[in-house]
Amino acid sequence: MKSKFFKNIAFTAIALTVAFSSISIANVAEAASKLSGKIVINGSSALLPLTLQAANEFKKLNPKVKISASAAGSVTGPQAVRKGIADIGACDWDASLDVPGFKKFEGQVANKVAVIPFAAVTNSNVKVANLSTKQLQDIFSGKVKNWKEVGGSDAEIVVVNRAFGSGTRVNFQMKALDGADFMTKGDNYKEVKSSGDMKTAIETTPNAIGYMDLVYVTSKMTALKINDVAPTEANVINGKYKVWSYGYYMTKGQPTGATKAFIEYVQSKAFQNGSLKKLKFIPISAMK
Amino acid sequence: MKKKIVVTALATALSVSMVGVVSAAQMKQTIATQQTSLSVNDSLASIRTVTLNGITYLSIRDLGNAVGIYFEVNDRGGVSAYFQEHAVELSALSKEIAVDGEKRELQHAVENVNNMYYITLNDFISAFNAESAVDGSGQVAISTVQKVQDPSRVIWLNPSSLLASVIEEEGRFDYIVDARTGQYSELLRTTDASDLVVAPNGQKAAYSVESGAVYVIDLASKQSRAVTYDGTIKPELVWSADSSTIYFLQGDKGSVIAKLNLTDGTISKVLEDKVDYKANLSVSADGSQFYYTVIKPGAVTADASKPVDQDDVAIDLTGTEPQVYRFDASVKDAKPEKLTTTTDDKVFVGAAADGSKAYYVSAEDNKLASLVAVAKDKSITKLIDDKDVLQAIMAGNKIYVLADGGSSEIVYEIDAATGQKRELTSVPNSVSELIAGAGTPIAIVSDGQVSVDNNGQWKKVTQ
Repeated sequence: MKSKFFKNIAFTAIALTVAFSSISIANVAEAASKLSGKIVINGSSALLPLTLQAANEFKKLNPKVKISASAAGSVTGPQAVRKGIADIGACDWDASLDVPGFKKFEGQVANKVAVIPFAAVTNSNVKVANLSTKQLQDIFSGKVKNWKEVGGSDAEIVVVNRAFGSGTRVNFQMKALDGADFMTKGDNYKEVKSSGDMKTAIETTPNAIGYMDLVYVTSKMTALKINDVAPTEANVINGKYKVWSYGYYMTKGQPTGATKAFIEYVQSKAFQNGSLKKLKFIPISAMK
Repeated sequence: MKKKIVVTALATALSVSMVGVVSAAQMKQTIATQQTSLSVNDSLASIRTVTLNGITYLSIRDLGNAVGIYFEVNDRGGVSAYFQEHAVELSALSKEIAVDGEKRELQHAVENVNNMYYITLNDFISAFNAESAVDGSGQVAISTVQKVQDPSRVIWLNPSSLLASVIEEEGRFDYIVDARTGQYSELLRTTDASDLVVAPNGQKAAYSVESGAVYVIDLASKQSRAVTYDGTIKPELVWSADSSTIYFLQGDKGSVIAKLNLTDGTISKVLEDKVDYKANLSVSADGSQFYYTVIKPGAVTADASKPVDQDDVAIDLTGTEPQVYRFDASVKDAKPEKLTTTTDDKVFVGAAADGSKAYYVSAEDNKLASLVAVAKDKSITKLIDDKDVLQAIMAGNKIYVLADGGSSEIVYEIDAATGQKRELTSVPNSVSELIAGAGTPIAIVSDGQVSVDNNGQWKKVTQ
């Protein structure tokens, strides 16, 4: 059953009235199907599940592209790119710009890949559902030490912070605390190194407060309203909830070759509206 | 109100309108018409043609009758043609046309012969957004069937229809596409549903929504019903062979293998071994053997106490290649078994229905990508290692492979049980993807458009 159709006659198809500028996954795949190369991705632990899911899908049509991923906090992404040991630095902030605590990484390009909402969370024994920006600032700076000072029970607050270098920490400080400083030590203060560690700490530590990507919030904790606005995807999209950021793939200059094709795949409508949403991230196109 | 007149009623008006421009009578004396048989929307139609200066023109009236164009004389001395919600204005002896009011130019002027308008095939296709093709026997085929445009994903539903998904600003539209004609109907429009996973019986499909709830849609009635409102992330849904159960990976890291009872919505865990980043779940027909891959992220060493600009970070990627695992749920207290340990990159293809082995594409630097089977006893068999494997798909008990054949690409069919390979066809290098299902023809994606193998001819079914 050898078809000669394509060899003999090409289709003639002229779409006269249709203007369609988007690139379909099929088009991306077509350009990439014989691609080969290695891509090393390092950085944000929040973006790691998304990266591995995308890599698994991308390789089905590009089996000769090897993709390895790792995570140790956002800052290690652009650091690894600058050092030349990674092609993509996954980062929860635009590392081509200065942010609190970090100078910009010169020469790096920020490629948006996802929208990441963050939530202030408490252990489920805490009877507070809403905090203002001022109250959050006071709690995370150590000024307010007891839940009764913000409408809760008489119990000492345990502040759980992410370690320096975390993208979640950078964003929470910029957007939930309006740039105010964190406390750095104390009996009721602890730092954790990853989103998973934060989840465990909040779930298992009575009277604890911390923060994490909305996707990691579980039924064993409470996601707080901030200034009376609930941390929901809808409130991020409609602009009411401010504590979110884009997730970025940082590259040394504009991406090329397999790296470019992979980033385009992650940015494609099919992935953004498919697996990315399934993993509870928000597509970049949702933000107007 | 528009005065709709079929073309047969236009002859008189047209001849009057053309007086002073060309002598219709003269044309009538000198131009001979012929009858040509064309395939129009999959039916044979007899179309009058004329040849002028070596160029063949087709009767617009005959083409219009074949595809359902309505005509009326307009007040500019020409003809307005209404087709598929578009209006095309044509004038005799003029290359200029207007499509929905926008002026365009044809390659050749519309001719008037014996009081009838004639147009070249290419210009007809251009003006009426049609498609044409010529098969190996020289038969010209014209299609004006509106097709799904720019689908982001196409899969087979059953041997006669495909599912095509189109993502627009408003959300995703899923269409059922007739694999023979390309005609389509809407199945589902959604803003938060995952891709549909079609049951092996081809009668229903499953999807999850952002909340984590799982729905099943009946492909005939197009009605969905919720099966569970469980809020956990479900990266992959997999149907059982008898279409009665859904297995899924659970959690953002796909750590747990779980089973969803479609009757009562209960969820039970099949495997919870604290191993993250499982993917590519595949279940044997009897539901006892689970194959999947596990990928291990690289190990990072970074000293946060050092200044950021020192870039004190190191990545160890040793052992990060995906590995294939098997879990035998029929054995009490069984542990998952790692079937592969090699450092090649592995793109999982699927598992045999009897659970005896799994298949993957193996890729290594400076080597051809090969198709490999790994058996329960960890023995490895190379099924294709003499061609660079570009893609492999498991479809029932067959594996379809797109391989690099040099000047073209080759499609192989492999019997999963015996490993027997046969070459099905060759396709151009522009083919980027193969689409196959159990018992279906194969389809290909080329230039972003999907074509189906229709008895040896590639029939385009999307635009």
